[in-house]
Amino acid sequence: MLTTGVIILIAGLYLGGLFLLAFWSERRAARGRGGFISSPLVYTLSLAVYCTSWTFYGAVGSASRSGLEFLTIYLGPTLVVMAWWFLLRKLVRISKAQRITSIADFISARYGKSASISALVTIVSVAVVAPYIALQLKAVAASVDALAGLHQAATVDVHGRSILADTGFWVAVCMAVFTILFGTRNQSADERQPGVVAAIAFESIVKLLSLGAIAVFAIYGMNSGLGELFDRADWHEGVQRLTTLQEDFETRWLVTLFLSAAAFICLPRQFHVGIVENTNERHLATASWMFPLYLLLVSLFVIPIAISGMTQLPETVNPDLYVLMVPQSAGQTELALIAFIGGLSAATSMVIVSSIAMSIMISNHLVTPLLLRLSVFSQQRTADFSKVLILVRRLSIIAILSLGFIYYYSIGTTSPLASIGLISFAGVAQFLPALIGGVYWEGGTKSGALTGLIAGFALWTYTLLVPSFAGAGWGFISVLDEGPFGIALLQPDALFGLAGWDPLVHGLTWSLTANVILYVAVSLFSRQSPLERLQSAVFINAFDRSRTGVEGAIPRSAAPEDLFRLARRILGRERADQLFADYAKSRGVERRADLPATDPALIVYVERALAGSIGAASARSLVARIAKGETISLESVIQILDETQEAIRYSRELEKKSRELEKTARQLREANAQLTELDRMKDDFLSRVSHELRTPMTSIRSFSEMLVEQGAEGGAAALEGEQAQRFLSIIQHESVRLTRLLDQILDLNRMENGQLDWELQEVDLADIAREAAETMRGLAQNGDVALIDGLGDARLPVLADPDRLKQVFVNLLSNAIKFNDAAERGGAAKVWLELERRPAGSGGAVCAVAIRDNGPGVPPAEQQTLFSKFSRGWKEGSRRPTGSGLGLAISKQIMLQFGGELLMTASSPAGSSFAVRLPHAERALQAAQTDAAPETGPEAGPEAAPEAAAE
Amino acid sequence: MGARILIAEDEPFIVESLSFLLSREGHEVDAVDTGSEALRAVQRRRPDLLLLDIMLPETNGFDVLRRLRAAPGLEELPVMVLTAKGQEADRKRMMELGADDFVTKPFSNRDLLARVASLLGAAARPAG
Amino acid sequence: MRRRRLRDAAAALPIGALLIFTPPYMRVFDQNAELFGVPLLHVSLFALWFLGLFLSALLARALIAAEEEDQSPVEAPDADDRPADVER
Repeated sequence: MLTTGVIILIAGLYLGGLFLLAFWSERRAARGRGGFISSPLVYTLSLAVYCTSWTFYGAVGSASRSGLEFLTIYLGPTLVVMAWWFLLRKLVRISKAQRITSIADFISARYGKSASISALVTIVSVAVVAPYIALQLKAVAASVDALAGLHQAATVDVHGRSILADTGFWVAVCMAVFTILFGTRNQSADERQPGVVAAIAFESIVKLLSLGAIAVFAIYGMNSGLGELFDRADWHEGVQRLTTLQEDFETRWLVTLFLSAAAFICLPRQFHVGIVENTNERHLATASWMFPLYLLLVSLFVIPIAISGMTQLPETVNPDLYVLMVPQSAGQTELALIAFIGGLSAATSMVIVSSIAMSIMISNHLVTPLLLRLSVFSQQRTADFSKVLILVRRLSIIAILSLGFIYYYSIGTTSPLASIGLISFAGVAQFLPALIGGVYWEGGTKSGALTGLIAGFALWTYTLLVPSFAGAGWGFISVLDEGPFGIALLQPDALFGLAGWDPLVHGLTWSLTANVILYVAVSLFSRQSPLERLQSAVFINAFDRSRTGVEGAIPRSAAPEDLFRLARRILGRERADQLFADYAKSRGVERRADLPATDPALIVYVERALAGSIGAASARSLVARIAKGETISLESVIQILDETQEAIRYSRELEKKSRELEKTARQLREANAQLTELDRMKDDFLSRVSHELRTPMTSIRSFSEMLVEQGAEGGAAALEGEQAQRFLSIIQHESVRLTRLLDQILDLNRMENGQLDWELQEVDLADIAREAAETMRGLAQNGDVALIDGLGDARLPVLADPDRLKQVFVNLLSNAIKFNDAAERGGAAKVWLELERRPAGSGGAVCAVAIRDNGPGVPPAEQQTLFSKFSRGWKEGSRRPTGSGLGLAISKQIMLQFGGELLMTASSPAGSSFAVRLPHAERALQAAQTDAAPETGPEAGPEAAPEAAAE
Repeated sequence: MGARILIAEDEPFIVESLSFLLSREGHEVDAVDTGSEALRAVQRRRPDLLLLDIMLPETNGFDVLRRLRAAPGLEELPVMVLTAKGQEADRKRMMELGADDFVTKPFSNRDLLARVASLLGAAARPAG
Repeated sequence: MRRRRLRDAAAALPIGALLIFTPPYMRVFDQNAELFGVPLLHVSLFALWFLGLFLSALLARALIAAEEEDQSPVEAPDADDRPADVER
């Protein structure tokens, strides 16, 4: 059996080893080989500080008493860490950007860098952490006693022991020394301190391994394997509890799951190692599986130890101490010592990290603001505030440890470890609404956060903390039993009549509900200050890169020298020099003195650097004192935000307008091009008309002159009778030509402008074609062209003007005849009149006649302009035909006016074919009916048509 | 004195009137009705004057002028252009391309003959 | 596109895990059976837990790879004060 002295010696040696480790790590880091402290493994191991002596001892205790509920303590953080991409990553990103030093700093920064919030959060944290530290001290003391064979009672009673003889006291002293030595080297919260980091990581490993060793022993040392272990479920009630789920386990399960998740984020020490000290977001990715793995192993180890303890140890043994007692009772002293060391590691790592985190919070959010208010600082003293800061930190460490010790010493701990822990969890859970709301809800205001926090904290104190005091014998018994001042409705554990609930659930429900409701309600009804709005935007949109740098837009000015002096005072000369040198280099400036006089970015930069040491609220107020121009000028910030929004909206509108303008411009360009083209065509037409008119005019004038001048004095000789006759006939011919040309032009013009009014009759297309052929027979005979009628007996009733329609056929036939040179090529010139072969399916809706010839065809070059005005004949070498070039154009217009079409359907050197198409008379009538009289139903059409036709 | 005049014009009646007028003056008149024909004819047998209608089928009258002037030995050939366009811009263009004179349709016989005579006279006179 | 799917998976995993470890689902495994002498409840709970963290590992790797592809640095700025942080 070990004596207390030996145990303490061993503990001392272990802690001494820890000191050495820390020292060695610092040396390594100083030599530049400290990269290991930034590895993802070390990060995960530092997260494992979550597993304190509550885990080491209390988890087994909880498993023995309450079954599988203990798992929720580890499942909660597992879930949070699995969702790292959304929550933790955002918290880390914001913290880096804002140089957050603690959870109080974070929440305060979100709500406009409010000093009141950070102070409140710090106070709540102190109230929560002190019991937790006490818990650790208690666990160590109890383990020492247990190992030494003393006091194996269910509780540990510390009363009556002198402080100096108390293990807990010495542990606290040791931790204070360690933390002060290795944890307050630098004042910047996010500069990792290699000694501490190494120690914590080491202790996490020790914890896990020792617990694992005991578990293995429990399975194979105390029993012959898992099977035997679980067989005990058959007869031991406790083991049964562990192997199945309890009745009504749901509420507590969910509540503790929620609490552990909340605690993983909100516990000051967890926030510190997880968020503040994170150097690389990528570490979160590794932690997302490595940390759950750690927790899984821990949980795994707990179970066999619990079972073994329950079934193989006497009833009087405190389940919280099974980890120790299982090996101890089997005489395995070495293993018991290993367990003890494991427990010591768990306790000390928690104490170290917690005291660091709390010292930062206390110094930044409670002490420094007070100091500033006392205007101790504003005097221009050369004394470095940085030294003061470190001193304050150290004192804070001592303070928080003292508080924890006092709590431990006086409370006597009748409650099992687990319940203290859960009460602490419930306390930090009060931060959750303000925190989560702050990161996802832009509408959360400072007033809302404050109100919610105060209410939640108050209710937590009343429903959970006070009963624990009462349980510890600190009075309040009457309050507990009858309510304050005898008001039964206000009983702490049955508030407003909600009796019979599990106290934890009861307390949590009240405090958190009030917290959330007030937070939301007050936020909805309160306004945010401009700085709050700014911060809120920065926080919510942390993943949006473009958001950073907004603060630089707030117009402030401060002389670089002033800023430097401030920095030097807070950060110390060396760091300030480095800070400014870095900045100057980034600006491309050699010396600090050369920095531009007004540089808003420098102000933000310095403020952020200061925030890293004294918190955002204090940094802001300090910088604000020397930066001229109110940082929170209502008008300017609102204006900036509004202007930005306005600018965005305006630019979007501009964009839209410019796109529309472009479209319009394009349309205009196209229209213009069309008009230009039309203009050109008009010019072209006019010049062609002019040419066409002048040509016959030339002959007329020339011959007229000759006729007039003959016989005039000095003129030419008289013309002979025959010649004169000839000249006259030419004049007449050309006059006719001229007249005809003019008529055609006018005709065409009128047709195009829709000014012609002709009467449509029902005529037979085939008959008209034949009539035209008759008219052209003479010409055909003269040209040795055979006109062949292939129309047969077809009846093609159409609606048209018969004369005009005949004109079209005449034109086509004339062209076919005149241009047919088949004779010259050794064949017989032929022109056919035939029914056009229509494609199947078009039915009898369209009547069509084709004029086909075996002439030379139309050269491809001319095909496009065939129907345009003044396109001329195409025969090479022959005399130019005396056509006007307007014939086809007019014919096409006529056909269009009748609602039909005229087109060339084929052309090759073997001949060409033209088609004249018109809608069937019935169809045309129908169309006319529906056009003219929309009121008459469609049925009116077909009946009306045949009647009209019959007329 | 009789000169050899080549008429390049595709309107038969205008050819007839021009031939009548010019042969009554004692000139020898020949006629072609396309630009390419005109170029060929000019090469074959160099006339003393060319009356060129700008609006000939197939070939652009300006083109003919250009090619005419480009051909060796034909730079000096007097060319009078017959055109239906009488605007300043066209006139300038014709002169630039090497026409010696031009006449707008419909023309006055007297005017035409005067110009022809002038061109022939100028040609007869030695250059310089 | 892949990023969005990854993001959805990153949300689905913790939510799914949350659901699995809540009472209704847990009761499913609370059968009176044993696996290698260990109660089914324990085996399944821990197996699922392990599966969850395994999936988390895969997802984490994929997310980081996607982040890297985007060329935007995932790293939080170093602890040292650097002007570049402010200027962004």
